[in-house]
Amino acid sequence: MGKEPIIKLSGINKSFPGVKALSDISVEFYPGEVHALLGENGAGKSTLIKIIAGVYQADTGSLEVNGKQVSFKNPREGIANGISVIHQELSVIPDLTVAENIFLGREPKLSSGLLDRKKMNTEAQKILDSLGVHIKAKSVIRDLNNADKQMVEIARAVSQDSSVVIMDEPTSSLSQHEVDALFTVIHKLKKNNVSIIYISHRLKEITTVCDRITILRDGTLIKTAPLSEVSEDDMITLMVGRQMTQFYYRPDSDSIKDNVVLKVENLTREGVFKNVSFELHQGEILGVAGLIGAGRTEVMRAVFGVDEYNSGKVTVFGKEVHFHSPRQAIRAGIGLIPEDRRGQGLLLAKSVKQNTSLASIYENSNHGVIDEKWETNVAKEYIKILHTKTPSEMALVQNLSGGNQQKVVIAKWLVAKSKILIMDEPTRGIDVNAKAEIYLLMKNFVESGGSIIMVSSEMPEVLGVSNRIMVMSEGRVSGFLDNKEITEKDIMRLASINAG
Amino acid sequence: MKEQLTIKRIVHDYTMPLFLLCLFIVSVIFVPRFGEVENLINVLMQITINALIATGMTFVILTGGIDLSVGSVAALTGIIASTMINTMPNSGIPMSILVIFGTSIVIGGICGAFNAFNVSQLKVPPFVATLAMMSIARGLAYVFTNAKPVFGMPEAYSWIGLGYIGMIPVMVIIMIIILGIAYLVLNRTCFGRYVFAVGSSEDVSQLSGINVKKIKAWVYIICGILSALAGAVLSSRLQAGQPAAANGYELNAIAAVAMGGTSMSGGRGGIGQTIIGLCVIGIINNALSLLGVSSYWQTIAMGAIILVAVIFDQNKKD
Repeated sequence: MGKEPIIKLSGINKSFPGVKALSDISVEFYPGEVHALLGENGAGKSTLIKIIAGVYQADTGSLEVNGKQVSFKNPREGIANGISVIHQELSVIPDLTVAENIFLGREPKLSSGLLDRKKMNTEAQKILDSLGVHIKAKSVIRDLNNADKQMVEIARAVSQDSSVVIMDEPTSSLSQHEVDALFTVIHKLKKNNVSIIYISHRLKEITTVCDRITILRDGTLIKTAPLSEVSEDDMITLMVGRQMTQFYYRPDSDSIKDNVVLKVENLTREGVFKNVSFELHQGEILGVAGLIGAGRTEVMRAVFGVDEYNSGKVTVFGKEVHFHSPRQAIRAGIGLIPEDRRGQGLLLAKSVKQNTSLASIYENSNHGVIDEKWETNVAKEYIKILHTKTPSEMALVQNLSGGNQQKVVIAKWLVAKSKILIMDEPTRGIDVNAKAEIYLLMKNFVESGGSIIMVSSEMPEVLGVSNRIMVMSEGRVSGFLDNKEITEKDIMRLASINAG
Repeated sequence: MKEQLTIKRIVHDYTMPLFLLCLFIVSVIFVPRFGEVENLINVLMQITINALIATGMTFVILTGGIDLSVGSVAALTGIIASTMINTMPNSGIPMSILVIFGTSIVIGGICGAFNAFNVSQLKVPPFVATLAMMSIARGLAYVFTNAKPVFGMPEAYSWIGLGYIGMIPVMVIIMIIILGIAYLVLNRTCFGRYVFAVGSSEDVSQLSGINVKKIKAWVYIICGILSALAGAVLSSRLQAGQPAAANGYELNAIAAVAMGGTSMSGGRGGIGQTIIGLCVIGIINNALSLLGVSSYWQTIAMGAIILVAVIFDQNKKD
């Protein structure tokens, strides 16, 4: 490349309490190129772009923009230096017009101090036209589809004279047709010498639209190379190539019985997942792998009775069921440990005791009057069994660490005598030692006759813990793998299948 | 050093009870006749109507909701109870009690169920749903009476509002029983636990198998019945069913709940806190009256004190 880099990162290090997120990252981004950032969940992609955009500050290392060393204190300084981020979750305001969104915070004003609507609309329309998209500046965002909303964000970036546009999983909510439109716009931006940093899990898109790629793994830079030098296969190998460690506790296959405890057939929810079928045996840990947005959480929520489904059959312990509320699922012996532990798993401002008893307090009450002795005893008992680190059963769960919080959620279901646990990302945000403890608890649970469905985006976890693995992609089951001689590559290949 | 910390800790954890204690001591010392037993019973009587409404309001606010219709429901019930007892001019005390509690449960139950249905089934925001009920119930009270007060109730009807058992007013006894029951329900039953859980997080509650809609429905029904009871007792005390009665009482009730430290977003607080709020408001009103402060200035002082107390409570460091 003969050109000067527009962004140059050298020796970037970044740590969070307990985790080294990035170590010694050096990479350059050039004008007029689309540069892909690749890596598994937790590889450090998000942290890296947040440092470029000014959301985080690097611990050590330097960031140069246009040859000048900078240190952004906040995202506003990043934008002022021509760096825009288009987030995975769209950040446009639904009740304002397209033009109002594009000029948000920088509205043109008349000399009287009032808004210059006319100028705002014409300028916005000019930008939209230059991108070749058919959106009217005066339309209200709420009436647009996701793809158009994204175009508005891109238009905003253009209106800010951004020389760098970072796109974080831009296609995760787009249809194939909309993806094509996005790519056309990306080509236009490229021609205007804008540098694009493109984050995606979908290898096919990366090979279509990107010029160079950088692969991250566990916070370190594995490789930066032109697209032509790396095959799709290599990308997968480089992303996942990791040594298995010994802290996983895969349960003995001997504990798996023949009887099916949960059977799901052709479960469909219009537009979310389609024809999902699987079986869960007693004593089994079924891993559910796939990319974020593959529909795994949604399937589990439907089975558990949180969300409705349109068609399909669910059989629990040999009885056909259709749960309309989690209450019914819990009575049938199922427990759900949600992905969002703090938002959906625990009453944060309540005590360990109250959280432990929450799902079973009525069943153990005296005609609705709480049996306080039982409640205290059971809370103390499970603190001991699960080795939960808490000052007492009266401590508020918000003051516990992530791993101990998760133990409280698990205790809730053990107390409720759940026989099937659906664990969604059971170790997210939990440190290594606590992870190992959670795996051990899972192993004990299945070996004592329970069964677990574990949804996880962490490959080593899926491989290290599951007996069998179901892979989902785009709302469908793309395959089952028997966890004997499979590798992460096999999973990644199935997970990136574009079904449909 | 360590002792200082414990004192700090106590002040931090018991801000409002300490505030109430200080207020009480200051009033006893500086306000003539405040500390006399008759006056203290008087304070209890003055807070009774608000206490009944605030108890129901505590349930609603603990789930993160609000009920603005309480004053109107109270007025409507007062009228209906008065009208009913007038059809039985020879009623004694037992019949009066039956009418007061019966109409409260029926009228309050219906109004509360209407709020409950709108909030939990039709997903109308509580503020709007109960605002509508506030308007409807008040309107019904006027339509029902042609805007004229209902008078001429039998002697026995006033026993609840004006009578005494020993030296304790009957309505204070009712208040104490209701507060006691509410305390037990909130702290000792699964229903009470679920009220706190729903207010802390509806998502977590639902995923833990709690019927969130049912809990949200019941708190409005409870609040409706207790406000209706307040209205019926008020009509007994005033010896009149006034369509304009209990105007603005929703704000007094919310003030008592908020002042005690119950979180307006739900999940934290309880009846104990509400009792403290009620006492603070009752003592301030009573003391200012004894000092001869005009009722207009009392209103202003009340607003200021509530604000200061809550600001202090909200901004203390955790």
